[in-house]
Amino acid sequence: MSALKRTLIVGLIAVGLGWPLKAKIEQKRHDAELRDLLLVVQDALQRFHVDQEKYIPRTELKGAEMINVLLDFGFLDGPPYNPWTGEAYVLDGEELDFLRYASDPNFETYALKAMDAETGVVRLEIDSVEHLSLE
Amino acid sequence: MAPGLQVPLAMLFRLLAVLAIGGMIHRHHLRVTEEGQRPILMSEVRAFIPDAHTLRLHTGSGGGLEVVGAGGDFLGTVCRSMPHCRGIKGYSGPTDVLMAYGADEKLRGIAIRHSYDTPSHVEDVVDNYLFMERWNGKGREEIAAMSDLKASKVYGVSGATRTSEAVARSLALRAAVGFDSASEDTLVFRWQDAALIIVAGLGTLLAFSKNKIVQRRSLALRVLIVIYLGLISGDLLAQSLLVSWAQHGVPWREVPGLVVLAIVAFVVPWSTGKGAYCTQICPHGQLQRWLIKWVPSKWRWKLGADSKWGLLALPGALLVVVLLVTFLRLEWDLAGIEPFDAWSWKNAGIATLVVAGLSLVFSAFVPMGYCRYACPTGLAMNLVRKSRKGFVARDGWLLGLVILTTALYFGYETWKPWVGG
Repeated sequence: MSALKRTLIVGLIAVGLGWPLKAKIEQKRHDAELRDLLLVVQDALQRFHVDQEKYIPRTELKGAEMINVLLDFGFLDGPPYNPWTGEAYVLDGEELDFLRYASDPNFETYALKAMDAETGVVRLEIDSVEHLSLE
Repeated sequence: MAPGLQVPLAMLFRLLAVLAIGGMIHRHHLRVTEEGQRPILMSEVRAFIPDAHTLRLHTGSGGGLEVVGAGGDFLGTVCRSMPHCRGIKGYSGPTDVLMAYGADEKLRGIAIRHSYDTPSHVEDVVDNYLFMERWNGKGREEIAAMSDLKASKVYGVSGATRTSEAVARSLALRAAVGFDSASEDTLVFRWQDAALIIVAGLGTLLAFSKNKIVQRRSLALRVLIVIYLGLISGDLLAQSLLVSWAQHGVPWREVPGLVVLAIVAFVVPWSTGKGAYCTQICPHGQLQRWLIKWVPSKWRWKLGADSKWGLLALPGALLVVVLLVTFLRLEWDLAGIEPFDAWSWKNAGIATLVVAGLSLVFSAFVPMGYCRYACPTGLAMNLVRKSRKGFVARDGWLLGLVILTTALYFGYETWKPWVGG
């Protein structure tokens, strides 16, 4: 009984602290994937801008829609890794995708946001006005 | 071992253990800050310093990495302009530039590592040898002084003016890192610092003095400490504070009073075996002490030996969590694992308020429950406490924390990919 009680208490402490710790590590890993995606897409977007002298002429796009444009213009070699599905973007319009692109009405600025799948909170963002880098 | 030798050896072990843990946290912080999201690679360095063999943290002013040859000879230093220059925008973003200095502290060359700016403009800058080699042969001080581009006769690259100017400003800013700290060397002593030193002094007096006048007025003195430290200043020692000091350095010039309080909190138990902070100064501990008197004794829970044994593991487990969160740089506010920030209740987060509430409820039924069974900061002070027996069981905990810290510090390259860098 004594050993069981001790094991139970230590187990509860381990689970109580280990569970949130595990969640935070997974969040960090996921954020690293989001960062990689944003860097790939931002680079392609900048190349689009050099070529077309403006950003993608839409004020708002979902990630997959933007990736389609960048693929069509040849600024991406292939669909990038989708951090929300764990595999490359399949671009079927049905996959989980919480990447958002936005531009001003003159398409002179861009904003990329990667959001949390559950809460919709912006996890990472990069744009040409305020959030200039991911560092 | 001779019994007389055990006590000083144990004290030395505890001192070295704390310094080692603090030192490794500090160096890890410098390392991660220096690396940023794009660590400098040996191949980049060899373009300027061909004999480079090893890169190691440069702890001198200015930071960066030391370049060491195969024979251990110092060959120079390298650094990157990010994240210092993240606010310097060209056309659409900042640029990360590598700066390589030789052993003579003169710049060997620069290279653009990554840019958030328009690629074609960045390429124009890279291709402009006059601009890229403009800095070669200059010392850090000279480059730092070139922040005024016109005065320094630094001309932008035609067609990529803003990108090249952003690169130039980034170089000047990065070179200036370390120089600008000279103006911060002044000690700032405010009345709050004097008040905290008085609090530390009063706490020590209460812990050691057997003077009847002091004893008779101990309640009034404790009330005074709780009111000032808890409700007015809110400067309670906590893991979040101690970790931050270990990472960034102890801010003895900025908050000397708080540093004195922390020194008293750790040095008094280490040197005398008697705690002054937990027993006499900490407002949260004091409140729990008063709860013992206020709550009827019939309400008290009697914890069995097994429950006590199990619960004693909690503060130790929390210290392990603190180390993991610190080294793995997890998005976890350490203030939330302790109740101390709740004393500044207007600015406190929900987690710390919840912990504060629960800790007081628990302590109402289990005397000093939070202090004994949950406080990681209290445990940290207890781990360094002197014992007349020399080495004691709790030294095993301290040794375990040193081993964990060492594994996290030296195993960085192994576990880094596992947590996403």
